[in-house]
Amino acid sequence: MIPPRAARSVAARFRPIAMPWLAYAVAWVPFAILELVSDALQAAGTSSFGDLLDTALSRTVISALLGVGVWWLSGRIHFPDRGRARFYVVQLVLALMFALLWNGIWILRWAVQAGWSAAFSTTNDAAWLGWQIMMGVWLYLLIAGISYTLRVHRLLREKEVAAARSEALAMRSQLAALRSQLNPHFLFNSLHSLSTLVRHDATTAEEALGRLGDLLRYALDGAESEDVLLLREWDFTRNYLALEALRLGERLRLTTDIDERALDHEVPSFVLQPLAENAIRHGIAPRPEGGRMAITVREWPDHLLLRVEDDGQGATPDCAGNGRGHGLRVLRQRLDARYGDRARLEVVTAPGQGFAVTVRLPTNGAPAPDREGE
Amino acid sequence: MTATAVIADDEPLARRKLRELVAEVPWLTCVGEAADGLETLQQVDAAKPDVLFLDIQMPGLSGLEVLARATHVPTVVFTTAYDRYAVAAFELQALDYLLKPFGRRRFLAAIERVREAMERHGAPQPLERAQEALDPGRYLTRLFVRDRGRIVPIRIADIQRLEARDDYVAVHLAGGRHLVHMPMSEFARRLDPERFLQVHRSHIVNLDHVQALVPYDGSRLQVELRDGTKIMASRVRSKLLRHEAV
Repeated sequence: MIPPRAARSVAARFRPIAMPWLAYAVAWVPFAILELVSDALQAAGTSSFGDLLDTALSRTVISALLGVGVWWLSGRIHFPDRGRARFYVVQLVLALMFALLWNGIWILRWAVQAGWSAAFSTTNDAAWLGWQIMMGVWLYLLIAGISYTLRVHRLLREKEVAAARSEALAMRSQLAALRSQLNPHFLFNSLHSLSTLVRHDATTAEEALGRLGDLLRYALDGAESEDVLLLREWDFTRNYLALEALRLGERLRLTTDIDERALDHEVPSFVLQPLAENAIRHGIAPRPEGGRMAITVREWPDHLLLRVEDDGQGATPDCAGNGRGHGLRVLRQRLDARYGDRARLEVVTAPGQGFAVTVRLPTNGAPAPDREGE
Repeated sequence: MTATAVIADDEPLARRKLRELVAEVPWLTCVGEAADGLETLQQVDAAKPDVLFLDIQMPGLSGLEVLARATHVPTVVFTTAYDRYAVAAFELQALDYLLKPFGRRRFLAAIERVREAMERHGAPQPLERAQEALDPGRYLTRLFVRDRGRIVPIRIADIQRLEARDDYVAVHLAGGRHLVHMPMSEFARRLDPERFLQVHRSHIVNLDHVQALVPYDGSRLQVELRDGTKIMASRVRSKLLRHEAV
């Protein structure tokens, strides 16, 4: 029922290897014709057609074989983005070497066919030799030129593809971030709570809807802007906590200790709220009796301190196998990329001992030194 | 007819909503409320309600653990805010569930179905169905579909093929087809890959009902079923099929 694969696959396997070589050989045909015509014009009837063809073909074969070397070499010596002068000097030297080799082989072949004396009597002519060297240099430059053009073209296309791919990746991670910011479980449960509230307490429901709107706006904008005032992040966190309080009722017991001076510093977006969400999801919501959460924000002379603690079940210090691990890892990566080792994220926890995360951010606000080129 | 109900949800406002909705149903009386898994278990075994509104995510015991441990078996209406896995399971077993946020209209529709089922059978729904469908380590052996108010069991082995139709999956049997409201990908996860083969983004076939795989053109295979249906496999799947078959 399944078609035989063997017959198809030999040809299929052969094709990708054979095709480039075939194209390469075909590309030399005009060269051979040019040689033949120019030799025939020069000889002006003194040589037989067989001799002329022999000369043209052997010169073409020698050139084509050496051309393979040039092609290989141009793959080794990359076309530079900067400092091209050196590259061109190297290419000229190579062109000269190619010309000498090209003529050397040609003379050698001549000598083998017609004897050394015949070969040298012609090649001793300085004008002829100079012309031949020029030809060799031109030939090298032509082959190398075509080779580099194709390679640079391919490189550019690969770069384009890579750029498109990394852009897609960035977009996808942005979407993933957005989705994790908008935890659907939280969102739909909040909507459900609100739909109950509208019947009985229109004022509270209205206020909560406003909070939900602000929350969504921040989450949608936050995916675009990296840095925000801590004031905005704190507002966002407060909105989030107010909605959670609506859902959890008395099970959420929150204390906050916020240093107002700290709020006009710029911080990465989503630096505080995910910590609060983690505390609720893993420290408070799983327990029927609920729990306590404490949020501390402090301004110190050289850094900001953000701390979120809960009195839940805690975890082993490495957070392995704990749902919090992922969110903390993402935050740590973001802080790393943004501040290098000038920011700190510390976790204090043990099974049954609650969970505390402390983030310290440098206050001078300047991003980490540009580490490109390291 | 009269019946009693228990409401289990960890969120106070969600309980309040259900309490009010239940109060609007003349034949239904709320006899208990629970805010976590353990409390639900106690309420169910103490009050022995006919109907249980059960949030599947609760602190303490999960909704399913509650059902596994309870000695009294009520008719269950599941509630959840967001759990694609659970929703797929409910669809596959024709279980009653409510997606939050829900209002009066959807609540009354669900409770009407419960009433019909109770009047027809008298007995509550068997909970093994929920347990089978929600166990992530098991492939389906049977599913249930709604057909004009009745619930029809279908043996997985009798399914010839599945076809994605918009938001639904069409389940093709010898005697006709049924529509199940869920994404194809969710359905595919519940099926034994030894028996069911995805030959196209929107086609899954039961290998036991496949007559032959016939080359169609250079890169595609056509799947012929015993009943004469022909399905074109996609290029990518055809390639995989060839590699597996040779």
